[in-house]
Amino acid sequence: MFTLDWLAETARHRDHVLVGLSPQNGRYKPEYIRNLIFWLQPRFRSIDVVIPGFEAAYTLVAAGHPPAQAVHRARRAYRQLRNPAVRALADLGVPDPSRHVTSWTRLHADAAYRASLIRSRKAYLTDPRIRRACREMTAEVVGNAADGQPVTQCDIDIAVRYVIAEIPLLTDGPDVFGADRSVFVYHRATPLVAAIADSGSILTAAPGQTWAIVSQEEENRDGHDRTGTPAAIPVSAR
Amino acid sequence: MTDTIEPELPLQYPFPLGDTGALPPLTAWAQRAKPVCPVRLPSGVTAWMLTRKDDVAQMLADNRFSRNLAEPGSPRMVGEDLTSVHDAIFNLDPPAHGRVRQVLSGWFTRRAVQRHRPLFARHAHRLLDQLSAGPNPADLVEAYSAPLPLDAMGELMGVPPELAAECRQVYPMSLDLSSTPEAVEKETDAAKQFIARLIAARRADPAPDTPVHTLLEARREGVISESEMFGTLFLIFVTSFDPLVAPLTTGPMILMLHRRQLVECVADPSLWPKAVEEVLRYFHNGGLGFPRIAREDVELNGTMIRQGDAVVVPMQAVTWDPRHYRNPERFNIHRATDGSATFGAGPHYCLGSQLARVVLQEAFSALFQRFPTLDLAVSERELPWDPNRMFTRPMQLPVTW
Ligand code: HEM
Repeated sequence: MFTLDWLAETARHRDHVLVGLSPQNGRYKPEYIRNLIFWLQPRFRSIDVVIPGFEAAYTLVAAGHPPAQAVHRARRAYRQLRNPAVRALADLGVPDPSRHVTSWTRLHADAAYRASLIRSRKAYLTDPRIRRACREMTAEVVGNAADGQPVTQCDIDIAVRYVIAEIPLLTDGPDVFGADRSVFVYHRATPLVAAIADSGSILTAAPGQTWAIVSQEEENRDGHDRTGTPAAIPVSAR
Repeated sequence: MTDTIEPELPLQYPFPLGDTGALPPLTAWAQRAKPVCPVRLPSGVTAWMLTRKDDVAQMLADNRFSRNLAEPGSPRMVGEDLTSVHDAIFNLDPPAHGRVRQVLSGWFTRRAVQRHRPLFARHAHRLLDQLSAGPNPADLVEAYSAPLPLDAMGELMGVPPELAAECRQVYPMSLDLSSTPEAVEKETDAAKQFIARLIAARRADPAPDTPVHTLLEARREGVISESEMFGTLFLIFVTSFDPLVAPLTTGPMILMLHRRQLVECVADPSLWPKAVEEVLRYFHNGGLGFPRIAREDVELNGTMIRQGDAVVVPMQAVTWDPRHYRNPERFNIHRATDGSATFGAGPHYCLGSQLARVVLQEAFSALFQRFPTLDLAVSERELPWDPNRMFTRPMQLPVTW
């Protein structure tokens, strides 16, 4: 009931799949998360699931929520994504399932993630295309959370950290998760992946890094977004 | 974990960490069941690990164990790290050790370091102004725990402005147990080059009243050799930064997790020194310390340590030894015992212990008097502890206020 749309067909593999769950999107409800993981896991040798770290709160802060409330909601959203993912992996018999569901914050324990994040921040500061992609994506997310309020450059300066912290997962999956090849799976195409994938940027993906978009077949028919209940961090689904 | 199951020996280092920085379960097991325990270091060397306070105090004060690790082929954690630098105070045995230590000791006494409180407070307040003006939540390591030693100790040591950027690149060193010997050697070489440039700069333009100046003067007067000066300067630069970032991170973390004790400190600032002692006791600043080598056969607690064998100590085991600290797993700022034992024992007892206390007292009080509601922005289970860092700590500490 899902389809995987590889960014480069030639790069197809069955090594490692990295699933990004988003608290900003209404589709990531427990049942969807379970179905997605049940569908992906048997198709790859290994699987990891990543969930945004504390940076998720920046979207809400930029949209005008008090920080304490934003942090509280981001922490709750994290649990709401994590628990069904761990349960799904456990039910599939993946050993030590909670080790395979990781927040970006937790990934800081890994030297490869930290080194990649330093490169990502540098790229944001020095590469106009990466910078533009990060800011566009941030503006869109904050705009949705702000419910029609205008989004200022200052709001974007705060919330862009969220987008930057995800870059290592788009460029260095093989190194961070110890695989020869790793595919990052997400629910939609982003300008950031496009910028990284077509080598004109100073951010280069590690050898073996690939990307794919996953979609649910029913979703294509009924327009999932309109039927969705609110996201954990309520940002209208796109 | 291993109350009933015997782990296979030698234990492989690094060990899995304890929850939220508690004593690693394997260390606790060794302390109970195998007080002189073989441990395989990442370099492949097998060393004897001591974990009981009395054994450790005895060994650290025993002349039959040498600290000199400068010779090629000495036991290493991974590769040619800071212990490979010749004639550093760390590496000297008596009597040379006492002569070099004497040069610096006046600068580091309890009395002498008190006058630096305003300097640490000034840097702390400046960083907290920036934190307050920036986004909330924030990473406290990036905003405070890492830059505070770099800025404040950098000023105290007299790092000239033209070397400030290089200093920030070199320190804190990563001292990464998962890296290759080549990477470790490269890191050591980069720090050596920085120290060489610093020496040249401060010979041309002296900065009086710094430990750097004290060492250069002692060299000029012929009290210490060129390589003793270089090695010791090299070492006090490492110790100025890396060992402080860890307690500057774990301290705020554990205090936020013990809100009642934190509130007491904020209400009664005379309690901050107590809080600092308990942070020092609870965490140490890393896992295993660097090895010592037996000069002759020595029997310790029923185990024969042969001449040439390496001996290592996880200092956190000492301050969690239940024979000396009741309920060591309980964080309690009102203990009668202090944190002294985290600084070692014997002739190499930490030279910076009083300075470290001043830094931590100023840093914790400034932080929480300014942000009394500071709290973790993620569950403590999410904190990224990296077991491969010699100076073990969460690499990020997300906070909100
Ligand atoms: C909380 C922070 C610190 C802790 C827990 C700590 C701990 C230790 C320990 C355990 C030793 C003994 C090593 C051994 O015998 O194998 C030591 C040695 C030493 N420490 Fe510290 N240290 C800290 C901060 C500092 C600071 C801030 C300085 C100075 C800037 C410093 C300077 C030194 C020096 C110079 C030695 C070598 C002394 C000698 O070989 O005679 N330390 N430290």
